[in-house]
Amino acid sequence: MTARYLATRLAGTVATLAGVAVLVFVVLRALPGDAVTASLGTEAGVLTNEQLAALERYYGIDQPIWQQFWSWLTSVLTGNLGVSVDSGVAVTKLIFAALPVTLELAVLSMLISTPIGIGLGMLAASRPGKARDVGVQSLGLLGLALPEFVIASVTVAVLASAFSYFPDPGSFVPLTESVGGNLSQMIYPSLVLSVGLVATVMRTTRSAYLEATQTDFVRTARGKGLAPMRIRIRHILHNASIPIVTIIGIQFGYLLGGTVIIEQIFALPGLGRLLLTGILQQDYAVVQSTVLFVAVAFVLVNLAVDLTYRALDPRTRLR
Amino acid sequence: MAPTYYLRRPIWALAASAALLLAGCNPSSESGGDKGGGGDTGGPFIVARTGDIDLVDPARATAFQTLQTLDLVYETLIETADDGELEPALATEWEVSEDGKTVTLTLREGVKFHDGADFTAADAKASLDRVLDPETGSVVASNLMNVTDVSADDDTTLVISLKQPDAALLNVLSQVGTSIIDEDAIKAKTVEREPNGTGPFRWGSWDQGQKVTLKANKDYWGDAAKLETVELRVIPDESSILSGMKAGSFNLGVVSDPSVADQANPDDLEVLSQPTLSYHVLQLNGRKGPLKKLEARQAIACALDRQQVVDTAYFGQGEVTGPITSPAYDYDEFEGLPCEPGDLDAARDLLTKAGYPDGFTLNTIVMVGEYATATNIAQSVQGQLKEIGVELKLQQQQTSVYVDNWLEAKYDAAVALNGGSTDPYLMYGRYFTETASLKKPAGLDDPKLGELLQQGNATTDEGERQEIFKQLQQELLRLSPWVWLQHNQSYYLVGKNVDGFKALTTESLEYLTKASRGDSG
Repeated sequence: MTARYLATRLAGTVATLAGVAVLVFVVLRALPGDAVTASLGTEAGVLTNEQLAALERYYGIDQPIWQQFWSWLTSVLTGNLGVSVDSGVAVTKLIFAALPVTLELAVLSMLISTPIGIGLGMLAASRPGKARDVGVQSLGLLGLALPEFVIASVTVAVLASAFSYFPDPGSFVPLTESVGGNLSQMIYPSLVLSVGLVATVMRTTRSAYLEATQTDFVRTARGKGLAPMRIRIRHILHNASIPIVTIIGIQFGYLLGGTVIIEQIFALPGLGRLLLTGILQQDYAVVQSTVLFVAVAFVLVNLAVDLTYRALDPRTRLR
Repeated sequence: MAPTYYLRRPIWALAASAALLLAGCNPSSESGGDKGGGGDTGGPFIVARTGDIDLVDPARATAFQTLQTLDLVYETLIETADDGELEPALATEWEVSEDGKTVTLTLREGVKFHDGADFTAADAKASLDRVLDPETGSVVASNLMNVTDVSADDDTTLVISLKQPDAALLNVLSQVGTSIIDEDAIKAKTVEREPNGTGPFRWGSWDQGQKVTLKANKDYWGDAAKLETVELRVIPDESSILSGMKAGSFNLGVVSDPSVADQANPDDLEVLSQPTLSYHVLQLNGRKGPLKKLEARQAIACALDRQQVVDTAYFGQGEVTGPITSPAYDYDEFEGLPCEPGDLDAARDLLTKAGYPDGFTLNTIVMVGEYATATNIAQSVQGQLKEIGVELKLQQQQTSVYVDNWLEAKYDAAVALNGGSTDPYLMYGRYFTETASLKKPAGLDDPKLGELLQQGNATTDEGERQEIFKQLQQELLRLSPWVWLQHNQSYYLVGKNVDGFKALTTESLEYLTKASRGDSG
C-alpha cells in the first residue's frame, strides 16, 4: 500500500513540476519585448533585419517556441540548467551562489519572529477582549497592513542617517567567512521581514490558544489544581502548537521562494534578486531554471514531509 | 482545531530546509567574493552606481553602465576632448581626402593589448569589420553605413573608404562601439567573455549583480592610472549610495536622482552636477490626429515653460536645451519658435489657428523605472499644457512595454530621455533623414530636415557645418516635431580625499585614470 501511495505521490509531483515548467516558460514569453529589446532598449530600432536575425540566433529565440521549450526541457532533464547568455555563467552556479543568502534570510527571520509572535499571541489570548488583547491585536494589524517595501525603505533611511548603515552587496560576506560581517548585512532585512511574520504568528497563536483554553482537558487540569503556568505551557500551548507550526511552515515556504522586494532594497545577492535581474534582462534560462529549482525544492520538501507525517501519525495511513 | 490534513507537514518543511541550508553553505564560500575595502585607503577605489553591466562586448554595448565600464578597458581610434573636439587616441592623426571619400588614419606605435599582443592596423581593421558584420548585431553599424571598405595598408596605416563624404565618421570612431579589439580575440571568438583592450585599466573580474573589478594597466602607452584597483559596485538604491558615501565606504557615487544629490551635505563630500548629452524631450507624433497640424505642435512648444520643468523635476539645477546638445554646436535654445516659451496667449492663438480652440487629448507614454525624474517631468508638462486645454493622458510603462510602443510610435506623445552625441548628424540623422532607422518614433517626415542633415554631414568644413546645423536647430524648433526640454543631469558624489576627478558631458568615467586618493582620508 505504501508503494502504491508513493507512486501516486511521485506522479503528482512530476505533473506539478511539468505544470510549473510550462507555466513559467509561457509567461516569460508572454511578457512584452524579448532579450534583444531588453538588452538594447530603444536602440533596437536601428538594427537591420539581418542584424536582428543574428541577435535572435545568439539568444536562441529564433527557433519555434515548442522547439525552444523542448531543448530547454531536455537539457534540464540531463542536469544542465543552461547559461546566462550575456555573461556566459552557468545558471547552476548562479543559483548555488544565491541560495545560501535566501536560506539564511528565511531562517533568521523565522528565528526572530517565532518566539516574539508566540509570546505576543499568548499575551493577547490571556485576557481576550480586554485592553491587552486589543493592544496586541492592533499592533498585529499594523504589522500586517504595512507593506514590506515601506518598512524596508524607512528602515534603510533611518539606519542610514542614524548609524551610517547602507545596503552594499560588495561588502556582503558569507556566514562561513565572517559571522559579524555577514550579520551586519543580514540582520536588518531579517528584522523587516519579521514584522509581518510576527503579526501572522501572533494571530494564529492567539486563536489556537483561545480554542485550546476552552477544551475539557484544560478544565480538568484546572480542576486538578495544577499551577497556572504549567497549564499554559504544557496543556494549552502544547495543544495549540499544531496550527502555529503549520503557519510558520507555510511562511517559511514563502520566504524560500525568494524575498524579491527585500533583497532588492537591501541589495542582497539572493534568489529573489537573481530572478528579478533575470526577468528585467529577459534572460530566459536564468528565470526558467531558477523558478523550476525553487519549485523542485518546494515539492520535494512537501513530499518528504508527507511521507514522514504518515510514519509519525498512524491515523493518516488509512487512505 | 485547524484542518487535520496539513497539521504536521510544516515541521518537516523546516527540518528539510535546514538540511538544505547546511548543504548550501559550501558553495557560498567560493562565490561570495572577497571583502570590500571599506574606508581603507589602501584597498580598491570603490565606485558605487545603481546598475550592473549587462555584457562585455563593446560592439554590442548600449547600456549606460556597460559603456562607462568598457570605455575604461578599451580604446577607440579617436576620442573627444572635454569640450567635444576630436583628439588623437589610438590614431595619432587622420586625413580626409579632397573628395571626402577616403579617410586615412596613422596609428600609434608601441601600443600593447592587455594580454601583451601588439596593436596594429590589422586589429583596427578586424574591429571595424566586426562592427559592420551583421552577425555581430552592433547598433553602431548604422553609423557606419557609408563605409565600403576598411584596409590596413601597413602596420600603422588604416584606410577607410566611403560611398559618400561622411563628416560624422570621425565622431563614430570615438564611440565605445568602435573600440579596438585584438584580431586574435575576434578570430578566437573570446570577445564576448574576456575583455582584452588597450585601455588604462585591464579587466579583473565580474560578479554578476554585485561588482566589476578593474586593475590599472601598468604598461599603458599614456600616463598610467594612479589607482591600483577600481571596483564598480552595484547599489540599486541611490539613497544607499549617498549613505555609503557619507560613511566613507565609497570613493565615488554616480546618481541620477536630483533629490538624492540635493540631500548631500557639502561637508561630507563634493557633488558634481553635470549636464549630459542626453536630453529630456516631449516627443510628439505628428502623423496622428491634431498633431498633424503644424500650429497644434507649435502651440504645445509655446505653452511649455522649460525652466518650470527644470525647477519642478530638478530643483532648478538642470539646463534648458534646444534640439542639439553637442557642446561644439551651441545655439540659441529657442530661436526658430514662433513665440517665447511659456507664452500661453500665443499658444492659444496657435491652437485656434489649428482649428482646436478648446484643445485636445494626447495619449502620452512615460517610461518608469529607468530614470528617477520621468514622472515628475511628465506631471510638470501635463500641468502646464492643461492651461491651454491640451490634456495629457499619462500612461506609465515599464521599460519593455515602453520600448515596444516607442519603436512602433504607438502614442500621441512620449515623455522621453534620448541619447545625444557630440555630432548633430549622429543625433538626428537616425530620425529625420530619408533612410533613417528610427523614422517611426521621429513622428514627422520633412524633406528640409533630411536635406540639412545630409548637407551638414557632407562637408568637413567646420564653418559650413556650424551654419548648416544652426539652420537645422531652427528648423527643428519651427516644425516642432518634438518639444525639447532640458539636458539630462548626472551627479557624481566625490569623496573628500579624492583628487583629480572630473565629470564629463559624455558621462564617461575616463577621469578615473587621472584621479588619486589622499593618504589622510
